[in-house]
Amino acid sequence: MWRTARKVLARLRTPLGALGAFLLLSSPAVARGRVALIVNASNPLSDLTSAELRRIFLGDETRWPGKQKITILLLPQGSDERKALLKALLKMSDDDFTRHWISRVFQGEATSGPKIAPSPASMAKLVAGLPSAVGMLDADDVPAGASGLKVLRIDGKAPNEDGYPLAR
Amino acid sequence: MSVSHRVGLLALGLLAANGLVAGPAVVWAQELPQTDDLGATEISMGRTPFALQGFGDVNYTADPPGEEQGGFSNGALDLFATSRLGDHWSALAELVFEADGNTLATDLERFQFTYEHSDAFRISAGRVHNPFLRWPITNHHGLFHQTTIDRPIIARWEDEPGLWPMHFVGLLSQGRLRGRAGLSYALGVGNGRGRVLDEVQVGSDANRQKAVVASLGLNPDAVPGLALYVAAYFDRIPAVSGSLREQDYTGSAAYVRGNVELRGEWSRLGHESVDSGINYKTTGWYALAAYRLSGLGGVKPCLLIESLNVADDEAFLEGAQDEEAWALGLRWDANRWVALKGDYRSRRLEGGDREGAIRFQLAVNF
Repeated sequence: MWRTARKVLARLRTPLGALGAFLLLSSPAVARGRVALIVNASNPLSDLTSAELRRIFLGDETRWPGKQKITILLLPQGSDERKALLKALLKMSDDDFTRHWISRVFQGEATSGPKIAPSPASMAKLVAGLPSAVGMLDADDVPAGASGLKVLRIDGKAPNEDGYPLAR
Repeated sequence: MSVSHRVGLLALGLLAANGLVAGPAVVWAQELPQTDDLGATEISMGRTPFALQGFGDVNYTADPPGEEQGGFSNGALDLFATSRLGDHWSALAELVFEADGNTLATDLERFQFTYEHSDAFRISAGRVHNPFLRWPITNHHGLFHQTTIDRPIIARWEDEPGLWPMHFVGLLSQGRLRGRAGLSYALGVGNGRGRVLDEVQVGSDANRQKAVVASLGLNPDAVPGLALYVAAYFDRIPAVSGSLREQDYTGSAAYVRGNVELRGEWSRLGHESVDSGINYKTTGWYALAAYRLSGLGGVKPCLLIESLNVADDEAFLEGAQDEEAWALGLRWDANRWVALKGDYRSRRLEGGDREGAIRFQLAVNF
């Protein structure tokens, strides 16, 4: 909520920004704080189920249907989007998630864990440049008309639709 | 010095050498700098993505039963390395230093190379953990991973001593099939047990019959966190006390999600004397319930109840005793790398009185 409030205040500084703030507030994606999952535009998938995503983020499924190894990208620890994703999708704290991946590597079922993108901007850039990537952004941070990115539908829902499962 | 010790020290040397080059963390291969004016670079040799981690524990037992005095004990130092060798190949080594009485023992616990074709099929060659019981496959040697201080009786390693076959040298294929049932499998063939209970046949097999292990698992999408497994293990043991046919079976269930952790496993060892036809059946089980209290700094109370019923008069298991035990404890994670555990464990050995002890453990991941 504070994040959205800050964005609204920032946009109120100019008339055009005020219009943006109005659109921001009227957007269901912003009002409800949705986390968008993004993949490279070349990825043939556009819709995944919550269960499939859960398996991917827990390392049970490590390859896309074309056998390419999945690269999981997360925002830094403590980010709202990351906390929301772990809570809504995995029912895990950040520490549990880290320990889970340490355990996966220790079990010999993975050789490394998810990678960290330091900021939303770098997340968008990395996913756009990595065909194997799946990443996360606040739905409001997905660059409009961004080339190279695709927002996944989850359980048939886009981030701005009712019933979208990754809400903060 | 045993073969496993020599191999262990060699592996440690390799790990140390690689660690000196690569550093004690995940290090990715890098292009070497230009070496001449033409822009040529050196060929990169032996530098692959490499990760080295350690697990360790220190224990304190207050007022133990019997003649022993309370005191500190070194747990295990577990050095664990993985390396990704391209898109489909990887290597894994696990080297454990542990107290053996008042001396230090070294064991190369795992040393395996894996080819991963897909999530549905990967195959490993080398010394692996037997995928027969779930506890050791979930927690391996690092006590940091498990909620309790102890491994359950049935999940003790061969040299602790445990009765179940925990390691073997051979081939192990594993995979997970796509679908809502979350069906997974493991199928392995290896050297199996040696002439005595704690011998893992690392260098050669004393008989022609190989050990075979198979397991099936379910992780249904409908109940996230639920895992069900069954497994079977077959071997011909070239025991000093006489050749034995081994047929072991296990069933396990676990539910781990959010603050809840529930685990249970039942297993039976079946040994049949080839000479006399006498059947020996040993059974064991454990049940663990734990719940993290979010409002109390994440303290996690846990209760482990377990039992072992050893076959009477089986020479191969000589010295093993029936045992019943329970442990009521707490685990607190100071952060994601450090865990403090404490418990009261009560046990009764065959023909003895019930006895108990208060224990503490510091377990770390570094």
